[in-house]
Amino acid sequence: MEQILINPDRCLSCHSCELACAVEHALSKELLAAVLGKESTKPRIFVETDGETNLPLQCRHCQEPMCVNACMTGALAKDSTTGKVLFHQDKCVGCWMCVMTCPFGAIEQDMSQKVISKCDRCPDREQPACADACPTGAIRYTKVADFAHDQRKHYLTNW
Amino acid sequence: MAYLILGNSAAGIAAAERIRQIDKNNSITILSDEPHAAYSRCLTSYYLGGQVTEQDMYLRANNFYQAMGISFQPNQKAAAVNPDKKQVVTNQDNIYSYDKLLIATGASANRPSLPGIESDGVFSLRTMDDAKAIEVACQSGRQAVVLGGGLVSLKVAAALNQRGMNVTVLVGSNRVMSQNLGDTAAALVEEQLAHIGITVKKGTRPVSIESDADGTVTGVKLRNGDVYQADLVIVGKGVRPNSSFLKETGLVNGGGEPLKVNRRQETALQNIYAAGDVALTYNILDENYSYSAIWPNALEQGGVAGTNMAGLTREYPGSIPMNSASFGGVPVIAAGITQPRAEGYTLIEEKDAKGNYRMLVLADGRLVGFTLFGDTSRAGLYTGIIKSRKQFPSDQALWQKPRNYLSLAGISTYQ
Repeated sequence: MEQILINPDRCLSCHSCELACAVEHALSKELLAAVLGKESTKPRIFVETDGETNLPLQCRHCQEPMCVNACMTGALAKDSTTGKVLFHQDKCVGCWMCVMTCPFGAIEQDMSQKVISKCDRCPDREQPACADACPTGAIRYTKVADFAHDQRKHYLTNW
Repeated sequence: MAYLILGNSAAGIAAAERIRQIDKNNSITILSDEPHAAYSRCLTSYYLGGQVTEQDMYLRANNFYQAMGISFQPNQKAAAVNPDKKQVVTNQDNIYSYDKLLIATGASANRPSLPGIESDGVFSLRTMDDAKAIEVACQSGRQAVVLGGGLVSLKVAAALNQRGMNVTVLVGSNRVMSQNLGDTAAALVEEQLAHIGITVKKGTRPVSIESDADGTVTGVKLRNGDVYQADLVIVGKGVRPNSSFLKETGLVNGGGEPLKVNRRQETALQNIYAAGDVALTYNILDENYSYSAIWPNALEQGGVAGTNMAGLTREYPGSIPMNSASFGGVPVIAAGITQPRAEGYTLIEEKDAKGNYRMLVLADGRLVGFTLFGDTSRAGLYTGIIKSRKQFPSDQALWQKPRNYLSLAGISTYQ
């Protein structure tokens, strides 16, 4: 099972991940075309900063996702094989129950379409666009099994 | 080993799925008092408003029961439980045996004892069949009266409004959503309701439902003598747990009582569990059990019950009251304690130039409740720190934190 691993120590808040994410989720999947075509596309990853720490934040695809429990339509579901929290936009009615419960604040509201948007781990790519675009290795896409348990814990929690 | 689940909605389905994850072999049977495969009750008002189809309401794929190896028994309403024989008898006189039983029978709409409430054209909205019956009865341009100003009542009012009915909501208290919202937020919601053309009358006391010679509803009469003309009346006066069939087990004294459970969702009787709208919910804030019939609680409790039924050990982490709604496209989210009645709470609120409203209820540097109207973005950050009981240096310090993860949850909790 692959995971997006974040190392805030390495994040320079360059926002490359946000741009790459927005382009990947544009219909054309190309920056120039997206800009010229005036496509409305938004990133599903956001770099937060408080002056000391920079943190790229997106859906964590939680093991026990609060959003899936809160979703009253079945639009959000946990895929037990891939571990992804899948979003089926056609089932979303914009009730914002998931927005109310996600403790990471990682679910965006699209107020015009009345649906949510969130990280889908880039199903059309080998590895997510944010990890590809990150110039410092702050965002890495790795098989979790590649990490020894302790190392993984270190990576996730020790900064 | 035989698992028997009474109820085919959020808690029942969540439990069945969890049991099947853990126990691949033993039989799981789900009884439902309805004819339908599992559907989302919360979507009934969306169906009525024309935003979703019947097909959209079904929660799982058509082959769900078969694929999961679940025996689904529709139209089997539990009539009695015999804990000694480990059997459930249904209204159709069928007998089902169990080794582990989950009571997830949900709740039904309250029907106040108003004269005339049995008239044709008086409905509650709880089930898919209710939604379909109301759909048949509603006619564009005619008058609808909704009794009650709670969340479900307002959602139905908005749906009927969408269908072109002239809707009046009769509220007993001095504001809408009085269980969820304080005065300021309720007033903002009322503005939205007025904006989309729904009339709200507050402080009203209906005394009877009027009907014509055929028994068809014609209006609602108030204590002050006013009569509101109505071609359709919706009664939205809360719900009561479907527990009366358990009287002989001693789990409840009378009908309509919620079931007591522990953190493993076990009832007082061995091998009998309860979850969802039929049961009490462990509330993190008062560290006690209260009635909180909301979808996320039902799913989570169902999952916990299922885990324990299948032989693993799992405790329900507890919940807080919370709700989300939108009227006229403007969202409102309220969670935790939003109307502090005891001493020791600080309530801070602000309305910005764009009409967004934010209210936090704090106690000793901890967030215990919030309401967001308009800009509800990242509301879960607040829900998260209510649940984690995170301590800030002061109420004011917490109030001034921007709504982002680093400021509220903090990097040390990120994993």
